[in-house]
Amino acid sequence: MREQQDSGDVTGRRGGVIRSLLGVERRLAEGDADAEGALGASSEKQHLAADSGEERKAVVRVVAADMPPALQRRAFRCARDELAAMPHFPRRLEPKRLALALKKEFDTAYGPAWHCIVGTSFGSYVTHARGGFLYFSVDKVYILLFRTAVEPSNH
Amino acid sequence: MLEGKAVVEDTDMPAKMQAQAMSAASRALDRFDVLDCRSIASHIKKEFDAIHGPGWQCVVGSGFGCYITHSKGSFIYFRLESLRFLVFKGAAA
Repeated sequence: MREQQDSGDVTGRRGGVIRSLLGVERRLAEGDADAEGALGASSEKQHLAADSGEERKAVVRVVAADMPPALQRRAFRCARDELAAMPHFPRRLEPKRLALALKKEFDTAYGPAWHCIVGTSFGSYVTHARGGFLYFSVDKVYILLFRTAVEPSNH
Repeated sequence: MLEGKAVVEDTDMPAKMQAQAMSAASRALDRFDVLDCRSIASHIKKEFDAIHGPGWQCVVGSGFGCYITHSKGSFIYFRLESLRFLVFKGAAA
């Protein structure tokens, strides 16, 4: 599987290539994920409108963050909106779609290069730009969103 | 521990570097429990930072999808045992 996509919002040719991956989804009883950079944690609950008109509570929980509150709120809103648009009966997670939505929104709004990992079971070890790291969950979906500094090439 | 064979799902990386990624993963699995995804990821990332310079990222797990931007020639996604491994270098202009 190989998917590539042009970044229309970046002029000229970049050294980076956008690529998406989808591991085999395995539903576990409980998510088992963590990420580097654990800081404070907080919780909030929001009502999430479903297509059927029913009100659902999507629990957003921040596991770790190094990100301004405004950007965090934007990530939460984007994630909840995308999850609300996904099939509910039966409920099916589309991690690649959610990862793409978040990455695109943040690349467009705040400049490259953002990376997003979505799933129910993963661990990671990353180096991120200052102020560009957020690891949170919406219900039982874990989302890692982080930014790497775009630096001039040494060549 | 019986070592399984790693299977490359997708890559943009020289063959030698691919082999290094998969052997690093194998050594990490010898050292850490299969459920300790973060330590496994840490081991691999640190090895790549040491060999190929800073800026590498690693994600390990059994259920995840992602969307990333990576530097050219520095990306691999493979599976070994019950886990999937993503190793890439963040985009550098």
